[in-house]
Amino acid sequence: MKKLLLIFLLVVALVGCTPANGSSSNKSKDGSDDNFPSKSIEVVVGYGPGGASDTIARTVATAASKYLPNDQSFVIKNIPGGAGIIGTSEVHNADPNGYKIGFSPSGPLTILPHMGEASYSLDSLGAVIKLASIPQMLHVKKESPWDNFEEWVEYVQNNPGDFTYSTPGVGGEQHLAMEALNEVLGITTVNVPYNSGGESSVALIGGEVDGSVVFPGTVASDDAKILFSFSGSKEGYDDVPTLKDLGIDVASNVYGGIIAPKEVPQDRIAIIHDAFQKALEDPEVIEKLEGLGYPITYGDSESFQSELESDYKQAGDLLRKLGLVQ
Amino acid sequence: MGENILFGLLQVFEWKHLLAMIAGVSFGMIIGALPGLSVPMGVALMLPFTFGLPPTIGMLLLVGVYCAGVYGGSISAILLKTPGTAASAATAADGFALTQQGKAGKALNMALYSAVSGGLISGFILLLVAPQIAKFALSFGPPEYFALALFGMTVIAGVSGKSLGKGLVMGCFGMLIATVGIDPIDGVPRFNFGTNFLISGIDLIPALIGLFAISELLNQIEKKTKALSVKVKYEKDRFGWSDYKPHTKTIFKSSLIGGIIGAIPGAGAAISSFISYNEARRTSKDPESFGKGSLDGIAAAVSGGNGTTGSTLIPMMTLGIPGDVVTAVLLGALLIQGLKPGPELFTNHGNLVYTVMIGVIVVNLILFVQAKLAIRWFAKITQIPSSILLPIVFGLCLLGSFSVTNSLTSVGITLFFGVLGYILPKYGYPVTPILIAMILGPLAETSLRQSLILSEGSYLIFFMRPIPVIFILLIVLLFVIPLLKGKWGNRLQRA
Repeated sequence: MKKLLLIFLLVVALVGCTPANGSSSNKSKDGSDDNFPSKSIEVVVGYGPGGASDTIARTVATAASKYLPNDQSFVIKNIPGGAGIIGTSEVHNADPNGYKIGFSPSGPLTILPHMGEASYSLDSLGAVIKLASIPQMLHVKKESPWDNFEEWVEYVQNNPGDFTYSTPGVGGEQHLAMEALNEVLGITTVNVPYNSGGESSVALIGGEVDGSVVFPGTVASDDAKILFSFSGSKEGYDDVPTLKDLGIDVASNVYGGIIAPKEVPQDRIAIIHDAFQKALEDPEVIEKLEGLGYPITYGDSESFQSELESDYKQAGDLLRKLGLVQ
Repeated sequence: MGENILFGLLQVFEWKHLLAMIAGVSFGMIIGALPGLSVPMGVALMLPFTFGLPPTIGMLLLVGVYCAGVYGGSISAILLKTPGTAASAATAADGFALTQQGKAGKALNMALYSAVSGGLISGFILLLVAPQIAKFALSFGPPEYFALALFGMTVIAGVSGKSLGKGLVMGCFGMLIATVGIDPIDGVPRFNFGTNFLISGIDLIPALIGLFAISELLNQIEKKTKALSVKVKYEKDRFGWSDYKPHTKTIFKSSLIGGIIGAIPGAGAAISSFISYNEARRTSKDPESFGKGSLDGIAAAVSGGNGTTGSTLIPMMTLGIPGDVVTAVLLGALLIQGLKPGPELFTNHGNLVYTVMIGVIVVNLILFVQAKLAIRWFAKITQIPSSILLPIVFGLCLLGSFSVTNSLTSVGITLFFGVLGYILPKYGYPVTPILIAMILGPLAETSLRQSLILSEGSYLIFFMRPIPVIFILLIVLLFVIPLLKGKWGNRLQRA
């Protein structure tokens, strides 16, 4: 019994203390911003631990802590749910003091607001820094008859509606990328949605579907080959042709970066930006991210913001064309 | 492979690895045993500590938390009827019945022996036949998942108690609850009534804590119990081979069920423990005792649950797909260390892989020793006066549900389901079918709709492949025919 009581007290103490300490130091120093940051900065990730977003955010944030003034650090907080909506809302609703920011892939910012269920819009959030790309590529099985884009196109043109491909969800970046291509080529392919990139790649290897639009890092097998990348640039995958290389004017970039509430003071944004920028040059970060297949694609606050805005528009047009939103 | 196993064996017994596993097991057992705190949470809490550790030590620590946590869930299920995990929900009814009879020690020992047996069998499956099992897991496409989910639903018949009709009503209710949130196929939010918090759906853990733990607390308050255990005399808890022997068959069968179901991503410990429990009840000579303090029931549910612990690592390490939340965290631990799962992991980091595999087996041995020492203390919890124990448990339950999404909305969900779980059984409506339907509902819905996309709308897809056909035949043979026979028999008797 004593043990249980002790454990209980320990747990209460652990859980109770952290936010309490945080807020007390917050009050004493927060008024004057010449000492930012005076406590740790929370980085909200809208997905559970272990996914692509979490991995990128954690890897870079851990290194970025080294470059943060006053010996402070970034702390990752996973708030999963609603395909990233819940976590992004959390950032949107946070006090604009710079102590709660978020990492987000492009989807929750460029696609989900169109769906009308998000409490935020792209305008109500500020882009801080673009960190890495999560390039999406069309994978087919190793023994499939198509070795390159041309052979594949010939097949789908002659067999409309026969080619099935797996994605991590309807209206996600992967589905929209393929739909954009369908539109340009005048072809019909069938999307079979799964719950995650991992599941959709397994559906391909297990032979459930003919192809899969996923990030190559989630395909943990030698049984797949890549036909082409939907990205606008090579991003380190030198032997994979992009659609642009193939003479087709379609590009769907998927990337992630740090966002913050819109009203965070510029000087604080600059401090956060600089810490992350230095982290991207850290050899350990470079080695880890590239080892997992995430190309580092730095973008400053302005270019990140304008890229998000133009992708937001593109996604909106496409979603309306597909009839997924009115 | 032999070389690798030897190397792994040497690695595991290095002091720092042993220390990591011992620490993981203690932490996991406590987290699992505390009502309201779940295994995924324990593993996630430990995850940040592994970032600074070498990958092998980190993985062994997490594996320790995982295996011990799954067992620990049964401790609170038995003693307090507050299962910490969905898997231990199947243990709660029988375990708590024994506790009330003053046989908590016996129930706890049965659970421990079954958990360790299940864990060891699963560990050997992982070590010896991982590649073959991974191939089998790959053959599971949408039609197979749908058939498995249907098969799992038949468990509802076993846990409905007196009235199958009322059980089915509760099953449908659970399915309905599972539809709240984002539609898995079209991505459209459903039944969220314009709110943000329902978009992500109703999490299983807060609902589970409400349905089982909060409702039981309300029951205890209503009964004004002085202490949970009725008998004052504390039964000596000698537990040996002679107590284990009658359940050998059940444990072995359940562990194999666990080993297979664990390897199928997305199925997991909860489904396995319920299917094992149901199977043991079906083949038992004394099915009436199930739910009223059957040791065989505990053995089946616990070994079915722990039987998945090793094999869930198979799809995670070989294919990079996590079968449940825990393995998703373990996958994260690998990725953050810069290690990519898949065939490359086996060729480039064979040392790590085999050390972890052997670690699963050693962790279970450590668990046995630690838990054996702890059980006598755990069993005394039931003698704590209710006026002290129940508020603590209540606090922990709310804390646990809060921690799932770090928001008060999940606490609200817990309280809602707590009241539901208190009222419904009073009118003869069992709550376990709600849980089973909430676990299987999303799996059934997603896989059914995926199958129909693949087959362009034809239901024949479920009859064209071997695994779904086997499941459908099993459903008919094991459940539909006995049900019809029962009805028939009754009619004949009446005539």
